[in-house]
Amino acid sequence: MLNLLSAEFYKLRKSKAIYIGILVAAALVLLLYGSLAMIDKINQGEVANGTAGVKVSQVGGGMGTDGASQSMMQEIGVIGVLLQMFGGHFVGIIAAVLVSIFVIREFSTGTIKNLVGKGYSRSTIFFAKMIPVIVLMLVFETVVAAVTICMGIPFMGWELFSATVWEDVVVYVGLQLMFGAVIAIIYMLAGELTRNLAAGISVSIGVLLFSTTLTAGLDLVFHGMEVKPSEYWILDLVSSCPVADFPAEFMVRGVLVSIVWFLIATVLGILHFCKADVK
Amino acid sequence: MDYALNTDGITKIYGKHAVVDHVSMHVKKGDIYGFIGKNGAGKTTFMRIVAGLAAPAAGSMKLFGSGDLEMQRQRIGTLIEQPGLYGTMTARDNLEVVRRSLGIAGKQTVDEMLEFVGLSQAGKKKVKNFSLGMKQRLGIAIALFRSPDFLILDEPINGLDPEGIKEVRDLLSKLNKEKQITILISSHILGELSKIATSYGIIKEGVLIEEFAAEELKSRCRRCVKLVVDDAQRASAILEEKCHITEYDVPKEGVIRVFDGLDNSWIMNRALVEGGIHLKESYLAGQDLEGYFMDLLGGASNA
Repeated sequence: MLNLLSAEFYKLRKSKAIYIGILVAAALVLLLYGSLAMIDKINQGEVANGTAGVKVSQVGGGMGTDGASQSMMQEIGVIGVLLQMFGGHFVGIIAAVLVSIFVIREFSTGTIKNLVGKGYSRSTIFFAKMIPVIVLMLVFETVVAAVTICMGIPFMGWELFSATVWEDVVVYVGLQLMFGAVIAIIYMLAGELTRNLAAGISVSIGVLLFSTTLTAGLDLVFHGMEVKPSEYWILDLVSSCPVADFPAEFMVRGVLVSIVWFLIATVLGILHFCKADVK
Repeated sequence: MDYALNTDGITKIYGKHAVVDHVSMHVKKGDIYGFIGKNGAGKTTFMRIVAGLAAPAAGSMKLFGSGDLEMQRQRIGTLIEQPGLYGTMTARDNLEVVRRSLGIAGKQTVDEMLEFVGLSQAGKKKVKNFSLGMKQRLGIAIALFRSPDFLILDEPINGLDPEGIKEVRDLLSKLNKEKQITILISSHILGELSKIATSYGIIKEGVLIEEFAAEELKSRCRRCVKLVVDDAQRASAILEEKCHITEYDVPKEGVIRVFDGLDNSWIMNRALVEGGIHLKESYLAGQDLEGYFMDLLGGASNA
C-alpha cells in the first residue's frame, strides 16, 4: 500500500494538469474580486455601467445592487467571496476535471495494467488511488481558500479585511473541505464507472450541475412530508452551508451525510473496480 | 513436469460468445511459448486472464504450480496490447512510477533499466514524442522491472522496424537463456517467432487446437515424399526391401512420409506399383513454418 501511495503521489506531483487547474482556480478568484471591484466603482459612479462587461442592475434587494452608496466588497466580505467560490460551481467544475484526469487516465493510457495483477489486491489499488484523490481535492480547495483570503487584502483594503470573523472562515472552509473530500470520491466513482475521460468529466459535471435541481424536484414530490431529500445530498450541503452562526443541526447532519455518501461512493467504486475487467 | 503456467478449461464469455473456450495450456518452465492465432482468436483475452486483468467465466489455472495466483503474479512481467505509459511524463518518470509502485529499492535501477532496453539517451524525452518502437521497448522495460520469472508479451514486436525486431528477439533470447525466464509470446510475425520459440500453441476461434514443441514443428515441416497407398504396412516393407529406405513414418493409416531418397521418388513409385500396391498419390511435400501455420489456421489471413 505504501509503495502504491508513493507512486500515486509521485504522479500527482508530476501532473501538469493539476498545477494548471490550481492556477485557473486562482485566476477565477482574481476575476471574481475584479468583478466586485468593478461593481463598486460602477455603484460609486467612478466608471460607466457596463464597463468591461460588468453591468449592475437593480433587482430587488440583491447584494450591493440596491444603492450606489453601498460597497459590494464591504457587504459580502472575504467570507462572501469564499461562498461564491465554493457554493457556486467554479471550484466544483475544475475539481471534477482534475479528479477525472487523475483517475481516468490510468484506464485511457493503459497504465492501470502496470498495477493490476502485480500482487496487490484490487481494493488496495483502489484505496491507493482514493487517498491521493482526497488529498488533491483538499489541497485544491485549500489553495482556493488561501488565494481568496490573501486577495482580500489588496482588493478590500486592510481595514475591511481585518474585520473578517476568522472563526467563521475557519469553520466554513473546514466544512467545505469535508464536503469536498466526499465529492472527490463521487467524481472518482464516476471515473471508475465510465473509464472514459470525456464521459467521466461529463458525468461528474452533470452530477455537480443538475443533481441539486433533481433534489429540489424531489423536495417538491415529498412536499408536506417530514423528509426533505435535498438535506441529505452532499452537493446541496455545499451550496446551503451557512457562513456564520453554524447551527448544530447542520453540523451534525453535515458530518453524517458526508460519512454516508463517502461510504456509498467508496463501496460502489471498490465493488466495480474489483469486478470489472481491465482493458 | 514443472510448468510456469498450467491452465485447465479457461473460458471467457462476452455476451453469448465464448472468446476463450476451455483453453488448457501448458507452458513449461524455461520455454519460449509462441502463441499463435488469427486476430480475434482469443490470444489477448487469454493473456489478460493469465495476467489477472480479466476474470475467467470458468476454468482454473496454476502459476509455477501454485493456485495462489495473486502471490505468483508478482513473478510475472506483462506487456499486453499497448504498453501502459504516461505520455506527458518522461521515460525516466514512467519507470520511476513503476519502481515506486513495485517497491523496488534504489533509484539507479531506473537508469539501469533504460540502459538495458537501449533508451538511456531518451530518458528525459516525453513519451508522447516516442516512436512506436521506443514505446514498445519502454513497455518491455516495465515488464522486466521486477526481474520476473515469467514474461507475457502480446505482440511485442508490433510496429518495430527490422532492426528493432532483431533487438527485441535477441533480448528475449538472452533473457530466456541467461536468466531462465519463461516467455509466453504472441506475434503475427511467424517467421520471427519461429526463430526463438521452443514450443507453440495454436488458438482458433477461442479453442486451443494444438500444442507442440519446436522440434515437432520442424519434423512436421520437413521435406518429404508423401505416398498415399492402400496398404501402408506392405508398402513400408517394399520401400525398405527394394529401395533401402530407412527414414520414413506413417502419420496416419494409408499415408507414408519418406524423408530420404527424395531425388529418386520415381524409384519408390515404380517399386510400389511393381509390388502390387495401389498408389493413389505420390508428391513432394514440406513447407515453411508460416505456410504450415496458415494451413493449420485455415486461411492466409492474419495469423
